[in-house]
Amino acid sequence: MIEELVRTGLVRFEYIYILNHGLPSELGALATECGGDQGHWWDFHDHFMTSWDFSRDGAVAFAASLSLDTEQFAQCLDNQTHLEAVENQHRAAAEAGFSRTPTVRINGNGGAIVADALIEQVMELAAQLQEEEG
Amino acid sequence: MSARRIWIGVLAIVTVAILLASCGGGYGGGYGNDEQSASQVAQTEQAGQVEEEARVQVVRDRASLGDPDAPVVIEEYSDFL
Repeated sequence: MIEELVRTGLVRFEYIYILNHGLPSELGALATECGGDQGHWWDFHDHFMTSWDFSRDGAVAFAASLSLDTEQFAQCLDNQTHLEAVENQHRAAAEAGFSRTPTVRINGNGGAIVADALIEQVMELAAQLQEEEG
Repeated sequence: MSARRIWIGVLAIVTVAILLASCGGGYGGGYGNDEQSASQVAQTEQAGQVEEEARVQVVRDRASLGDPDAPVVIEEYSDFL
C-alpha cells in the first residue's frame, strides 16, 4: 500500500526504529541494518514484519537465503555495528513522545495506522497542498 | 512448335519467374519487417525495463521509500511487532 502511494510521487515513507520489546526489537533492527549494508534493508524489513522470527540464527539463515555474505552479516550482527544509530533513533522517538508501536505521522502530525484511513488522510493532505500551491 | 507457342511458353516462364521473385522478395521483405518490428518491440521493452529499474532505484532507499522532495512524508515508528 505504501509503495503504491510512493509510486504516485506524492509520498515519501520513512521507517524509524523503536525498541519497545527488548531483545527481539533490537535484533530485528540490527539485522535489518546489517542487511541494509548489503543492499537488502527492505528484504529484512519485510521478513521481520511477516515472520516475527527475531532469532540470530533465523536472521543469518534469511541472509543466506538472499545469498548475502553471511560471514560479514553475522559479524555485523554479533558486533552490534549499528546499535548506536538504532538506539539514537529510539531515544529521539521516545523523547518526542512516540512510545507506542506502530506510530504513524504524516508531515509531522498524527496518522492513521489502518490502511484505508491512512490513504484517505494522504489524499486529503495532497489535495490541501495542491490547493495551497494553486 | 509454333512461334506463338514458344512466345506463350516464354511469357508463362517469365510470369512465373516474376511471381516467384515478387513472392520471395515479399516474403523476404515481410520477414525483414517482422524482424524490424520485433527488434523495435524489444528495444521499447528494454527501454521500459531500464526506466522502471531506474525509478525503483530512486524510490527504494535504506529505511525509506520515495522522492526526498515528495510533498507528503509518512513516518512509521515501529519495531516490526
